[in-house]
Amino acid sequence: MIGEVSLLGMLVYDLIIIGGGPAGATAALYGARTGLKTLVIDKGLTAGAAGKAGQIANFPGLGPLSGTDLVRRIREQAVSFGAEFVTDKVLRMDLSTDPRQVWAGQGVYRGRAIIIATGSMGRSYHLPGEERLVGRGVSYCATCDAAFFRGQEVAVLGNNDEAVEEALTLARFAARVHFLSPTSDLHASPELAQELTAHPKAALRFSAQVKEILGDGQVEGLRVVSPEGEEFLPVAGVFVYLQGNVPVTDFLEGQLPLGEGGCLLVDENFQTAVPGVFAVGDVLCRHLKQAVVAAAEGAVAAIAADRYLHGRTQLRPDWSR
Amino acid sequence: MLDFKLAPSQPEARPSEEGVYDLIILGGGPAGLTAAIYAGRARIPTLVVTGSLPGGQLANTDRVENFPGFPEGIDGSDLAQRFVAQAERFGAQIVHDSVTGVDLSVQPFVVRTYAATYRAHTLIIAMGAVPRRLGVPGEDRFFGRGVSACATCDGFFYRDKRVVVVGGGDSAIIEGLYLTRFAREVVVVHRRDQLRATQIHQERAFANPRMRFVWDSVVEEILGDKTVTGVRVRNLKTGETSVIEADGVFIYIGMEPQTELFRGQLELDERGYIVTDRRQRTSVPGVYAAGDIQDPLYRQLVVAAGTGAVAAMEVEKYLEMYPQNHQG
Repeated sequence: MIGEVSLLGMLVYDLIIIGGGPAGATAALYGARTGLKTLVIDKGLTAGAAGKAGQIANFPGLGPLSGTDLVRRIREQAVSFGAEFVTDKVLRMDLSTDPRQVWAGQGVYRGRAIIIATGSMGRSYHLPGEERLVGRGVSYCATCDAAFFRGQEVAVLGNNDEAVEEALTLARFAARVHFLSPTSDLHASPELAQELTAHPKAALRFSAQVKEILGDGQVEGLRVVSPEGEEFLPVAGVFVYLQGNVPVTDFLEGQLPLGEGGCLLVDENFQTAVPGVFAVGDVLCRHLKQAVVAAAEGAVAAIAADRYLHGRTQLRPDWSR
Repeated sequence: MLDFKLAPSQPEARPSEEGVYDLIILGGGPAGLTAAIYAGRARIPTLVVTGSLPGGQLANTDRVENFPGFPEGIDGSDLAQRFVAQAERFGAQIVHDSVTGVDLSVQPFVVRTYAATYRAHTLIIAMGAVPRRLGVPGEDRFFGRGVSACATCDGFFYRDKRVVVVGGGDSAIIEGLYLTRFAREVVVVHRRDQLRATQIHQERAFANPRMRFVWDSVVEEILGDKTVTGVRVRNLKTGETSVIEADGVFIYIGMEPQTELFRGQLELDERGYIVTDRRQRTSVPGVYAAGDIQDPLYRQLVVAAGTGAVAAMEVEKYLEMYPQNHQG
């Protein structure tokens, strides 16, 4: 798949931002307004911590509003200055090339500067059987792998926008999509939830805990515990979108040094160890997890990225003499 | 995100010795007011001394487009009022008075204003920085409405227009180059016959077809009726005056952080900014700084607000860690 040059791959962005929460969306607002060709790759409005927050009362200037509303407003503002948003999932990156390359479910994106704003809702554990069966029926990307499951039964584990969108993608191919939400409700936008609920191929289950992924060399089914009891659910594929509370840095595959717990380390301009690659928000070590702090960091990183791209270096006196 | 819930096991508002606040915030701009919102949310008894201009630089800003959360933009004074109302809603006490002196060598710290003397266990200093002004006719009238000191904030408004940049140092040239992305022509007016900016920036400026230079000249007046239409400049060598037509004027002759009161009491950098670490701590434990008074580089509204929030959260930790510092 990597050998193919997609149409998207032909474009080179000045700035690619991974994650569209308060940090990423503010970076996009600043990047686009400064004139950088800016792309945000994001998994969906409710995929991050802000999108899940009930009420935010202490974002200065805005009364109590939901986290989803806050993020939506900042994104709208970024779009008004020309930023592009795409709903996609970053699988891996190559930070050593120029431009840098970002592989996501729908194609390859290229950008000269990168801001990582992926937050800290990554998973710290795997389900029994999960690692063993990755690529053998276990997947994290329906856009990539849905076609392999044409006419078969699959399961989606999760409850947010990303999980619902991926389930809808799968429903175009699979015979049946078992949607197993670990919670008693969906944390997705009402429109998406409605679409999934009404879909003839989708079977929704709530408070469903997957205890194990079973199969001998290939996924054969799941051991599921739900209010109805424990059961074996036979499926050929399982798509996992569960969330936890660790920084989302797995797609970096060791290209940047990580602090304890997998968080990212940056300098005072939010630049990582790789020049032109920045990180902001909850993915950082010892972050305060406040929307306005994340937004401030996004603004700084975008200005720093612009200076990196245009040689608009910091105002340090006499450095070139 | 912790935004949506109250801090766990909130203590009731701390009883404080008469006249001693847990926190006094000096400055009523975005940094100070955001600190007040956060402190109020944590139920820290807080006094805000706004200074002469409640809202800070924001109050003088015509239109704000880059503060996240306002897709249609918002008037600077409206946004400032929202900050004030929100801080008051969370319980901050706001006085419109100016600080005339501080004593950071005693605990509690002493803050003197024109009207009163206050004491506090912790301080957040957020008195901002002011762009140095030219001091010429028209400048005050058009400031924030055609006269600016921030290309990052206002450059966008000058697409395909002509702007004048006053100054010859790094800021003037770097920001002037930045403005060429929007403006069709950037005219740099400088009082000498060569730039002070570093060589690489000079080379870029001279190579840029949209940059033009007017040497040995000073701006004597900013012209215009309702909007800026140009500047009158005088050549210092010949004494001749002339008019440069322009839609905007960017003044880059330096910033002045409002730190005179703290000289000798807090560590300042060579340009007079308060030195802080990433947690907004200054050289004196219990004293924090936020916003432009400690930021020579970015000077953005949302960045100031972010540092205000960080400072207030650090104050909260400090008060919890050193309960002996406040009379509980």
